[in-house]
Amino acid sequence: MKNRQSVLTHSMQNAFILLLIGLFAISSVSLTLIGSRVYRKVTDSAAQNSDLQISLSYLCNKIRAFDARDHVQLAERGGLQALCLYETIDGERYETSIYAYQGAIWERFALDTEPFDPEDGQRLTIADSLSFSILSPSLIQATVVMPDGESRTLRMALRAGEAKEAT
Amino acid sequence: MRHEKGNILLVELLIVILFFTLSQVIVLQAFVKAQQLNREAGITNLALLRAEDTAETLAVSDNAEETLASLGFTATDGLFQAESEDGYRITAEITHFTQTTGVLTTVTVKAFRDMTELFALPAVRYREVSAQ
Repeated sequence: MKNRQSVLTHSMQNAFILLLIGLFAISSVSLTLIGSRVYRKVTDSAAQNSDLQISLSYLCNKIRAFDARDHVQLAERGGLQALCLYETIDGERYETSIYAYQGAIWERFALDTEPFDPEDGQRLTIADSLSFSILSPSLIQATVVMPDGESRTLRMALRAGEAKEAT
Repeated sequence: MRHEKGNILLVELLIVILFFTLSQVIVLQAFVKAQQLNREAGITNLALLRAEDTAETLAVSDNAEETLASLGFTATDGLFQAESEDGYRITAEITHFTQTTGVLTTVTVKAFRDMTELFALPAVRYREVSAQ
């Protein structure tokens, strides 16, 4: 009788230990799952914020660099809306066009007279679309839409000249 | 003797589980903090963009009050405010400094999350008297 009771107690102890280990295993797995989800979310969000920030800062800096009379224009190039920035080097007029093409923002630097081909440009950063509008002659608004649909707008004031809609 | 050995094993196991549980709690807290920091960084980014947009628009506007109203700001006791659903608040305070040659308008755009000030941006516009 005493032996049977001892066996029962021993079995219960074993079951308790197994239960504890099981609980610990479940909580460890759930913690790992929660952790990986949080980590993925944090890194995704940080990467997306960074991509958006890069695009907007790039646009802002470009416009600041070309802020002069008749140097900033909005135009359509090959069916794409583009921000065109002009400069004269050694008597030749060059155009820097910035546009969205094939899920990215591109920059193309070429002579003003050269025919436009979006493939000639350089791929800069990912973006689903990029659009510009002139809110007032000295205020340009850029809207960047990321592949997941999140969008941001940025307004840029021209201090030296006015922006134009060109052909 | 065997019973004693079993108890020691159980205590050892409990200590190990306790240690790991404590580690889990610390790790969980770190995850929560990371997510919270990420969220706050996102809000600060959005607030900064909105404040920059406001400052840029004011930089080329002739009437700061009208411009702020068109940007969704409401005036309360001379202070313009705009609440965002994203969890930040932008305020704009206008000061005019009039001289014989012109008017210097300074708008201080500030962003707040809860009651904490995140940053302040000045937007300055000078208009000559002849240009008015």
